[in-house]
Amino acid sequence: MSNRSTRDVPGRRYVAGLAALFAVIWLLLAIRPRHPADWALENALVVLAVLVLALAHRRFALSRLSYTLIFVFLCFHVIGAHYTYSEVPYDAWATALTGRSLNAALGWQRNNFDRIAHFVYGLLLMYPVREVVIRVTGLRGFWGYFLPMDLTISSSASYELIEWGAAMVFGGDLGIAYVGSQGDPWDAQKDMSLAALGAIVATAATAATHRWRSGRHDRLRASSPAG
Amino acid sequence: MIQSGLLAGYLVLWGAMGLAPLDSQNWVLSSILPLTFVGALVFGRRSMPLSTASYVLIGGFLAFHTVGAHYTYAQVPVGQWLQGLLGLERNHFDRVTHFAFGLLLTYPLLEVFRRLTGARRLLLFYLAFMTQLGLAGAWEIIESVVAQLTRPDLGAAFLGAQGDPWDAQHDMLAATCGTVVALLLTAGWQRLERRESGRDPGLSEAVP
Repeated sequence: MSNRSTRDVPGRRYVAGLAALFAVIWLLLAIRPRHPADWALENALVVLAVLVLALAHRRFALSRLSYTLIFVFLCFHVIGAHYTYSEVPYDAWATALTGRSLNAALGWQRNNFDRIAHFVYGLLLMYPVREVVIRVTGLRGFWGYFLPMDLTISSSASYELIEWGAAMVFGGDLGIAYVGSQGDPWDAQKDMSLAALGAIVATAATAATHRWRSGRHDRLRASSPAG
Repeated sequence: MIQSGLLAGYLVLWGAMGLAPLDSQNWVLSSILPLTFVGALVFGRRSMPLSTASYVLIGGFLAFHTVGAHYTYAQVPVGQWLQGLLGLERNHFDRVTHFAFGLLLTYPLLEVFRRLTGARRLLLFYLAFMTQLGLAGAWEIIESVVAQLTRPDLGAAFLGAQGDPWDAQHDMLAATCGTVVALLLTAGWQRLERRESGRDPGLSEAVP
C-alpha cells in the first residue's frame, strides 16, 4: 500500500478528470463575480481545501465517491461565491425552468441558497470525513458513525466562528455579504442546524447502505455450499 | 464516597436554587438538561465510571449553570458586580459559564473518548476539541429553539442574548477558549506525570 507509485493510486484518472472539470467550472465562475471582494474571501477556503486534497492525494487517496461528493459541494460553494450567497438567482432559474417561483412555492422570505449550501455541506462531506476517520483510527461500529457525524457538525460550528471573525476583521458591506445572514438574528443557529441535519441524513443513509450490503453478503455466503 | 457527596451537594444546591427562582418557566426549562446529565452519570456509574477529578469538574460546571438558571443568567449578582467593576455593557455571567463549560467538561470528555474509542494523544485532543465546539453550537441551537417557542415576541432581544447580535458566536468562542485552556492544562499535567513516573499517565483504562 505504502510503496504504490502515483500511477497505481486507484481511480487516478477519475480524480484527474474531476479536478479538470472543477478547474473549468472555477474559471468560468471567476469571470466577473458579482462582488469581487466577497468572491475572493469565499474562495480562500476553496484554495486551501483543493491544496490539501492535492497534496494528500498521493499518500492518502480517498475513494471515488468521496472525491465526487467533495466536488459537488465545492461546485455549490463556488456558485455561491460567484453570485454572492444572498444573491444567487436560483429563484429566477426555477421560474425559467418550471414556470413557478421556488421561493413562493415554499413560502421562503429570503434567498435561501446559503441554507441549502449548509445542508449540502453536512450531507456531502460527512462521508469523506468518515473515510478519513476510519482509516486514521480504525474505528468500527457505533463510533465509526458517530465521530464523523460529530466532526462534520462541529466543523460547521467552527465555520460560523470563522465567518464572524472575518466579518469583524473586514467589516462593512464585505463583512455583511460574507456572513450573509440577511438580517436573520438566528442565522448561525439555523446554519448549524441544517449542516447537522445533512450530516445526520448522510450518516443514516451510509449506515443503512452498509447494513443492506452486509446482509446481502451474509445471505450469499449462507447460500453457497462450502463456506 | 466522594461521588455520593458530590451528588448530595449538587441536589442540595439545586433544591436551594429551585426555591423562588426569578423566572419559574426559565428555571424549569434550564433544569431539564442538568438533571438529565446527573441521571445519566448516576445510571452509568458502573458501565462508565469516571475519575473523581471528572466528577468534581462536572459538579463544578453544573453548579455554575444552576446558579445562572436561578437568576436567569442576566441577573446573577456576581455578574452584576463584575459588570459594575469593569464597566461592561451586559452581565457576562453567561459568558463565564460558557467558558466554564469548555474548561471543566473537556477533561471528562477526554476520559470518555479515551475509553470508548481508544484514541490517544493528538487525535484524542482533536476529537475532544471538535466535540466541545459542536456541543457549544448545539447549545446555541437549543437556546434559540426554546427562545422562539417560549418568547417569540422577543426575537433577538431574548433573555440569553441581552441584545448582543453576535451572542451565539461570542458564546461559542468563550466555550472554545475554555476548551483550549483545559487541553493545554491536561497536556502539561500529562507531561509532568510522564516525567515523574515514566509511564503514560491519566486518562487510562483503569479508572476506579
